[in-house]
Amino acid sequence: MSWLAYSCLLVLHFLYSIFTFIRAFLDNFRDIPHPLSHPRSQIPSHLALVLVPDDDTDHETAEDCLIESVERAAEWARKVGIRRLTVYDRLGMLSRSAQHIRNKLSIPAKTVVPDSSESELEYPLTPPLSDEADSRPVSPEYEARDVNLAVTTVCLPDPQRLKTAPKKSSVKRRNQKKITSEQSPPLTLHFLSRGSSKPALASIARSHLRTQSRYPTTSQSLDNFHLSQQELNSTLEGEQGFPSPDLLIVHRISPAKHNQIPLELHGFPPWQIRLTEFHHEPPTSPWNWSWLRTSSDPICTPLDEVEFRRALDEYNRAEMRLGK
Amino acid sequence: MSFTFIQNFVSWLGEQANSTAQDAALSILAAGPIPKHIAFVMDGNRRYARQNHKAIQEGHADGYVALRRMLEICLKLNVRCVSAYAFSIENFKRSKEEVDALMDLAESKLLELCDKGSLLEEYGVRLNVLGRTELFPQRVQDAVRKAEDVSRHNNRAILNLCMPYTARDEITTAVESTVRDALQERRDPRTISEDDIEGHLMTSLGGSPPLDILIRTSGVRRLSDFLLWQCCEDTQLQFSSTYWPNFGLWDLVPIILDYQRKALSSSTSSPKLHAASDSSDFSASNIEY
Repeated sequence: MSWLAYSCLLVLHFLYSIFTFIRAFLDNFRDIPHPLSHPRSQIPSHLALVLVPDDDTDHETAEDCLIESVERAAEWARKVGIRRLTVYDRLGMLSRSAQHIRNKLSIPAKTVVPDSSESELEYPLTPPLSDEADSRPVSPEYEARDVNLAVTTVCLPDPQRLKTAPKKSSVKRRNQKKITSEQSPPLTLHFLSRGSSKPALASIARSHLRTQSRYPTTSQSLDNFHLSQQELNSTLEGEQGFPSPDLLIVHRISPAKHNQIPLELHGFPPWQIRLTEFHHEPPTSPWNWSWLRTSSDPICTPLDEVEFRRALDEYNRAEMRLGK
Repeated sequence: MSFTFIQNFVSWLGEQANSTAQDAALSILAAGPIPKHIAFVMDGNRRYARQNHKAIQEGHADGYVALRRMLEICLKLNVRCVSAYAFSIENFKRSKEEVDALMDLAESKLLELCDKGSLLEEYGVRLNVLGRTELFPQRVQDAVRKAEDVSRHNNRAILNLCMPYTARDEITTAVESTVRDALQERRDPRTISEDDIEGHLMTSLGGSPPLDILIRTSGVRRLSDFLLWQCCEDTQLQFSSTYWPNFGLWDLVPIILDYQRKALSSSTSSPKLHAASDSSDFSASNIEY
């Protein structure tokens, strides 16, 4: 009987593969999502992007693809009015490239570089990359010393202000008003890795233990130690951390081995995904599937605009009841 | 009268055929890798009730029937642990009428689970109620205690009813108790790791294995503060558009197939013929042919 059941299971899997193949193929003919400029009643103010390379892809290729995905996402986020973008890759390739990405995103391709007298106005001071070792007290009782949340934060200036550089101060004032109405808001970028996830919570636990260890340990002092959600939240979503994203897109940059891959979060920080909407796209190009390709060269597919727009459309349709 | 008889006979035949088909499907699926821990976010009871012109309380009652159905299916498949998001701390914000009805439902169904011949007894399931149970009315707390006590010595499977629960509350409590235990043991802070926090989670304290699949019904694609720590690594998140009271075996089949494809593609050994034979708590006779 067990061999019969196993044989039937193989047949079932074969039929399921055909079904998902057809569905993936038909997905190519889905309705085209609305353009970026389409008015949407709900736009995420904070978007997270989880980029997933395959273990088989070489490091350099994967890194280039990740960086390109971030650049694209930042450009589209600005167009839509998203003010905060969090990017995550498990191994931290993006965190290590944060400086490089910031430099590329701070200067648009067709920029007329203004002279130095105007540079202070046109180039608002960009804060330095956040230093993981620095911290500020969260509360008078507890100081978050030695907490390592492994979050790198960058604030990108508005590129429109960099493009247009009025020549005369009086003209500049008039033009500044015009620029203000057309400019997109600055974009805050958070770079995360696995270290920003559960290890960050362990870091907070160690920090509390150090603080409490300064006092004599009695049964009363043990009972008096309380940690509230608010306190934990203020550390994790405070200056050293990052706030909860409204929408999270999971994008695999390497070809899929199957035509149906359920959503996984690949170690993204758990605290901040309490109410986050998830989006991920099944592979829709069967000809990219690794078992169909004849070339041995790896294919890396950066985030594409259609996927981005589809995620925004889905978010626009989502209903939030918040437990009620 | 003969027409009524024929009608009843055809209906009975249909039920028997459906039951046989379900048992066959379960037997076939059980020939491959089976997830050890599945979690359900049972969403859509109220929308189901409105769609079927029923009272909200009826929707929740039908939702309980669906939970029993899915629990039985998972147990027949030899799933070691099932977790269900029965009530969020945030749900106390609902109308008093609805909250009272849910408390009545919780009390009556918990007491039902204590009865002889219940699902817990039949399948040897240990019940863990995870959450801030002190927020429940006393009568519900008493029912919780009784149901947990009755099933405490069962060791074939685990049912986690998360109520009233939020994951952030669970994580906060786990960090707090990690620090307290470390203080008591006078541990060097440098030795504290994420594994310590993991060990203090409510699911871990109840003996639950790592979470393989999380299923949310009704088309919502959020976790809503459920098992955030447990599912943020390699748990497969499956979002079904079906409302929870309508969720059944045929909705579960593709989800199990997805899990098996991942398990088989990552496994270096040959596929297992019987998942049941890998567990010391189960025997092949659990599956009815």
